[in-house]
Amino acid sequence: MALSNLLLDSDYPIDKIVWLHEGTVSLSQGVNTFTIPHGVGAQIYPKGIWTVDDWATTQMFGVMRHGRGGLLDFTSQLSADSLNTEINLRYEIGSATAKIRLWGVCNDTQIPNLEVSNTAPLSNNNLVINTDNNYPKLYLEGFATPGTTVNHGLGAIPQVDIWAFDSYSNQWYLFADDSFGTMFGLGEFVKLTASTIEFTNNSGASPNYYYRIYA
Amino acid sequence: MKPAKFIINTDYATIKNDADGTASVTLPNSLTLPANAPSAVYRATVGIGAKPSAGWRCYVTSDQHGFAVCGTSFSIYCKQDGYDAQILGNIFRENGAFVLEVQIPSNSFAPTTWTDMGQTLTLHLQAIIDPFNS
Repeated sequence: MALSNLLLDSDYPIDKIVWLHEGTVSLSQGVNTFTIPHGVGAQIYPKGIWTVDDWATTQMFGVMRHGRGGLLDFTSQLSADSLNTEINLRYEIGSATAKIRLWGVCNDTQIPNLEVSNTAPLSNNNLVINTDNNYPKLYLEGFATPGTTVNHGLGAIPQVDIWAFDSYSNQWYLFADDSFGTMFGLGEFVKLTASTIEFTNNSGASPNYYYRIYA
Repeated sequence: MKPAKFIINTDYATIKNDADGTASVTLPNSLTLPANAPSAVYRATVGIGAKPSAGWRCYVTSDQHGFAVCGTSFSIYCKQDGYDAQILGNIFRENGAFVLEVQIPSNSFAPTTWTDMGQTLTLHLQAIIDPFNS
């Protein structure tokens, strides 16, 4: 069958990565901070992974770990403003060389996400569009404050990325760290349900959230 | 025009969803550890074969709560020797698998008893690949 009129149409934008960085940093025992200019000129929301064993074991930034006897092994945070990305990696299990991979997105009002919509009709006979890799669709993005409930109505708990604003350092942090409190039980700060995301109290440490919901 | 090769070209890197997976682990409701014992480790592992160059998105649900938490670290509220306490859980990648790990620590100087922990935790994982494309 010949495809005479093909319309590519997506109601959803997909992630536009505005910044990429790959490198190596040297960790000494204690707190290590690294400032990496990103040059985007707008607030970016960073994510990233790191390893001290050449990717045999990979941690995402935002994680912390306690080891034997409850002692702290490490905390790893990633933050950014419109100029720089900052790594704060407290490493308590000696010195190490860490490989890092970082990337950043912007909110859609700053740099619009990609949207394939209303493409001009094409004429083609043997067109294959391979979607083996299943691009996650950015369903909804926005800002929220404690007390806000975002209705997504997807009918299932969605994949969500959340960043929180730290008023002390005036930067946006990847929200994944227990210091901001992704918790079970009392004091939870962000609850995901099949219909909502509920942003609750957070002791004033991070009064604003930026979220990206994927479908 | 009949194009021989069709290319959708975006000037921007994006993220692909490489694989999805879930795994669960059940914590005991009560556990006593001798003084200075190794941490009791509970793990749920998802071996979805993905090799994310960028990372992953995930959330964790508990059968004791009607909501989920997102992120790579989370706390479980419980009691240690009768007092309110927290246990930390982590999600990381190890030798090709994704691991949800909860370490219940001992006390250095005396036996310690953890209670009110009982729940089944489920990791819901979406591995992502690109933009580094390894």
